[in-house]
Amino acid sequence: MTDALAAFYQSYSSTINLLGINALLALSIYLTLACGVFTLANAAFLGVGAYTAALLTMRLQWPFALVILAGGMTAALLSLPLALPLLRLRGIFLAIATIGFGEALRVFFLNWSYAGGALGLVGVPPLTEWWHVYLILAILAYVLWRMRHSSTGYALEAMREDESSAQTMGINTTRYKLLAFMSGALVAGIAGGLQAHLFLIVDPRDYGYQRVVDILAYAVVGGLGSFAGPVLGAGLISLLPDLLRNLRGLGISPGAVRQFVSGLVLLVVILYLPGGLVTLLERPVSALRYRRQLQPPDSSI
Amino acid sequence: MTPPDDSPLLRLENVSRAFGGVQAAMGVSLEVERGTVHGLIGPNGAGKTTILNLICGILKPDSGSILLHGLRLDMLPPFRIAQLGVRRTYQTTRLFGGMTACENVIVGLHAQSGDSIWQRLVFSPVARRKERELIVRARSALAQAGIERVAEWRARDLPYGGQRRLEIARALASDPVLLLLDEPTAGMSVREAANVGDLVRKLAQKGTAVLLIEHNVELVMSIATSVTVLNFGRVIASGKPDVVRRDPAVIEAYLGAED
Amino acid sequence: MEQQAVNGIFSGSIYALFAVGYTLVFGVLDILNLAHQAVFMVGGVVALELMLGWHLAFWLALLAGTAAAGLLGVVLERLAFRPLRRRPGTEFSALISSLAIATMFEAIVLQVYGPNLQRFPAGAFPASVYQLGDARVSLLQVVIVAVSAALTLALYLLLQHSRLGSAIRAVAENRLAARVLGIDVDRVILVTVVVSSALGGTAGVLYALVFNGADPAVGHAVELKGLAVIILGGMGSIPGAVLGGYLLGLTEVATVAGLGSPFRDAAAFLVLFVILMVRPRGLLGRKAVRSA
Repeated sequence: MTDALAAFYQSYSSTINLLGINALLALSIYLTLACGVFTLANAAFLGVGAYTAALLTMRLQWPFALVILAGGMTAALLSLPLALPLLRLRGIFLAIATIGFGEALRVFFLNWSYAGGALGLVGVPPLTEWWHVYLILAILAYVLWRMRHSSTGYALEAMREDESSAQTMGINTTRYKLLAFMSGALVAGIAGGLQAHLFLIVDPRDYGYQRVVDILAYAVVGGLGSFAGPVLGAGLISLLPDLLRNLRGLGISPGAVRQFVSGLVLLVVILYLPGGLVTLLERPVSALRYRRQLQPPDSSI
Repeated sequence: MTPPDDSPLLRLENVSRAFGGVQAAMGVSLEVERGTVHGLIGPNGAGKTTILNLICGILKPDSGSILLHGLRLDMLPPFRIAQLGVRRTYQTTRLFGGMTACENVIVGLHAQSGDSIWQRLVFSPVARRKERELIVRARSALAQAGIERVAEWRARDLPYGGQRRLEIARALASDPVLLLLDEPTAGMSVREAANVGDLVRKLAQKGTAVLLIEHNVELVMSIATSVTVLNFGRVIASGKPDVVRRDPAVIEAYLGAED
Repeated sequence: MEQQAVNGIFSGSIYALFAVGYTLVFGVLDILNLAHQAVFMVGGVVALELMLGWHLAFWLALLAGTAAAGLLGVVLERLAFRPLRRRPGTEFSALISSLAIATMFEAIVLQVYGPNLQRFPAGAFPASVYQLGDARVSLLQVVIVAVSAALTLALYLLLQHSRLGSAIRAVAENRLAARVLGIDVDRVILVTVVVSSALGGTAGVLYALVFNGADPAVGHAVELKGLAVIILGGMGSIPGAVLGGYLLGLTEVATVAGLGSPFRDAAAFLVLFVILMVRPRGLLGRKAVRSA
């Protein structure tokens, strides 16, 4: 039995690991979207975490746990000056700033000779195990699960429904938005460190536009109603390349098709299933719940 | 720091606010004593909702000041004002549609005295006890508003009258010091409106100050201790209901078609 | 110094043309159209393909690139924007759907052309150079500035002095009121998006000419500049986009002169951030900036 498992892991390890990382990334954008903050900077934070962690390992030989943490903290610290001045403005301004930030960082990484410039970093020690990724994912999922019915959870949901109402009920929306933004950066940074020590290279082209659109797709396609959605979305979209591998014989480049399908799925979901794929799962459950409530309504209320 | 009991709780001093070229409020002054119902009436577009928006902090006045317990509200962000004990309802219901009625009320309570996430992470009994307390308080608020029976319904599934009452329940659950009601009985039947009127009167008796915007002039005159009349953003009359309703300026501007 | 000014005005004119389309859609629809950079890219690629493969003259290729972009604008409006008008969505639904469409357009180009840079054929454009004071100005640069200025002026005239233009402005002011007045809002919006995309495509052809080639990643490079320009100029303001475009062009050359060419792209980023911190409304913007 364990032989079979070991063999399974051998052939699918990179997929399993990538899935875990993408799930983390999906959750990193979930928190911000859940309180109405639109950001496209998470691929850049991923890159920040990757470079920080990889450089600390390779140049200063810091222990693994520490470099991962440092990657996350650096990203979180960078997110603070980005978001703080802009949170009082309309959300579109922060969205634009994050796009600008992402592009600026991409160009910075490309030109940063200390970190290899356009070639990036190679030879990062393989320190990440699959259980590192999934442990962090499990911890994050647990925190999000317990948060649902706490003040924070209620505040976030209220903010998502109606920000102005939430404020007049005493919720400090600016503080929550900032916390969500920084937490998202932290998680993305951690994912970056883990990814660097998994794929053993840090390539500046990995942290650009396409990556952040993917991350957004994981969260939106999966659904923002609960933390399970983004994880589901990450799983589904990450597995696309494997499903599409067979097209190579037809002369169709899998990269282009993958990008097209990813965009198509995102479009279809945002137009016709805005709650994401989880709503398809939720429907049977909530239908049952609803039926129980439909006692003959007392018209005297 | 408790202010002397005879000072008005809420005071607007010469408050003005314009939007583009329109002067929504111009030199408005009014006072609301604690434990009283103060009516705010006037024709459509007179600026009544603007005054409410200015008080709760969504808008800032161009000039003048708004004082609660002597504290300048117009310098504070909306969430701080809410934390001081100011609650409001809206002209068009703005409930959290996806949440149940009970949850809608709990949100407001949590903002004041909720648990911390650390307690939730370790399943702390303190957190669970707090949650139970909040549920009790929420249900009590729902009961006051007469909608306890639909506590587990989703807010968007409630009938119109239920939604209006849920708004009020949500606002009164945290025992506010000042309650701002924006046309709470709009669209209600006579009997439902009378129930709401009773509720408001009881709240005032318990010590809450209520600023009540209403088109139902009869209702306002019957439960308010004082009334301010607005027209085109200015105060045209202010004082006891009987006095105001006989003021010729008011009759002309607002009650004109009556008898 | 004058040479710098010439170069700055010249690249500024392309940024201005690109930004005008961007800000037009934002002004009328209140949507940040993230597919704008994709139609920009397609314009350049289509023109290039026609000149390389079909040996079309420059002017015809320019027209074709513009038309292709305009056509994509139809697709964009019908697929990404119109369905969302019929249902309530979040503030960012349209932004996300435009992003999805952009990804799809790019993927198609990637499939058809591959990721590599294509170059314009030599001699595609007469290489005459003129002398203007201390500066050398090529015919190409003159043409680009002229095209950009002419199209922007045409748009301005359309908006201010035609019935369609006043319909567009009415929809931008208050969509519901415009509908009540009998304006076919759906048609107006379609025209707006098509015009915006066509202008973006023209800018893309001009850009491809300047940088002597086109590839699928070109859109991202210019997107940051476009954002910087519309923020600088004020979102929704067409004169602002023009002004901002030229200012960015000049700022870029000044940055290169002062700090060296690797910092060229940093100029756009800095402009964007400084304006967001100091005056988010931009120079000529009139829309509300604060939240709720």
